[in-house]
Amino acid sequence: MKSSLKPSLTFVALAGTLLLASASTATSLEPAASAPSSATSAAPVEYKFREAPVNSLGIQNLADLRGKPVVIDFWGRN
Amino acid sequence: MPASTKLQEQYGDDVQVIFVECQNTAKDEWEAFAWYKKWMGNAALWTVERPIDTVGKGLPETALIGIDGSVIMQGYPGDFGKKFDEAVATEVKKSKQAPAGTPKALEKTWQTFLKGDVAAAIAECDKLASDDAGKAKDEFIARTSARIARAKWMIENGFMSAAEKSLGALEKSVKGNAELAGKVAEQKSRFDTAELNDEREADKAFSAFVATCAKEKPFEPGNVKKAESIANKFKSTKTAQRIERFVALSKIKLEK
Repeated sequence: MKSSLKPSLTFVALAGTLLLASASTATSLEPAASAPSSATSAAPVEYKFREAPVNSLGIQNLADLRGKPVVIDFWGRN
Repeated sequence: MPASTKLQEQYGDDVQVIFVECQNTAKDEWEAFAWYKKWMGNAALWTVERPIDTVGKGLPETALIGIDGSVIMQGYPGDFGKKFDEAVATEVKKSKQAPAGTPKALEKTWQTFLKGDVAAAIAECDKLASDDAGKAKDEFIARTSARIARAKWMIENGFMSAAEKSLGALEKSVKGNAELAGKVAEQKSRFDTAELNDEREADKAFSAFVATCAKEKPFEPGNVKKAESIANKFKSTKTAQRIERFVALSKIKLEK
């Protein structure tokens, strides 16, 4: 009995942890930085804006900016 | 935020900064906040759409997309220190050189293009008549066509000062290439039409106003009155609509 219960408890704990992790990433980002991570990608990224950004002056997608470095600053008002 | 604003103002057209608001704040509020903090008045773009996914769990987060479109760095800015600014400087330098892997025979052609002489660069490609030269020519035409399309968008949306600057540069760049020169002339002709007189004057006045007030106190009553007077003078223009929005944003009470 004990041996069969132990994996179940482990599973429940793991599932709970995963649920909490997914819930925290689904909400909006917190203003204060926590454990920062970093990433790079070898392939060119593509993105077409659904709504023209403020001050876009006709830029509709990232491809319009090819040949120029692009800095993306993710920020929060609060 | 201030660091990215500084980068945009330092490099001008050589770098594109995109600010992405990530906390679902109402657009009016974050836009008013950006004006209030004196972050407007430069070439940076503002949106809530994330062109790439965030990788961290907190803000701020910053990313650098290189001239080839790949993500070079992304993460918490405090972790990068000077490395981020150095990487931006490196990419700016690379943007003024032929792309990595360019055949030796085309390096000079790319330099010609990057210096702004599109017509000469295309003529050099035609002269070389190789597959690589054909690909380079396609790239030159695509990038120039995108600039022409943007100039067209600027005219249609009343950003006449930016359109004038862009068309002026394009005219010089494509002089000697009949096809591209024709497309630029078509837009220049639209820009010059008498019916757009008010649009040109209104945008000229508002652009000058923004250049002055964005770094002072944009929402000071005196500044708002000046903006309103431009809108009243050039009613029914696209610029007047933008001014109405500016005035509305100035009335938003920000909590901090």
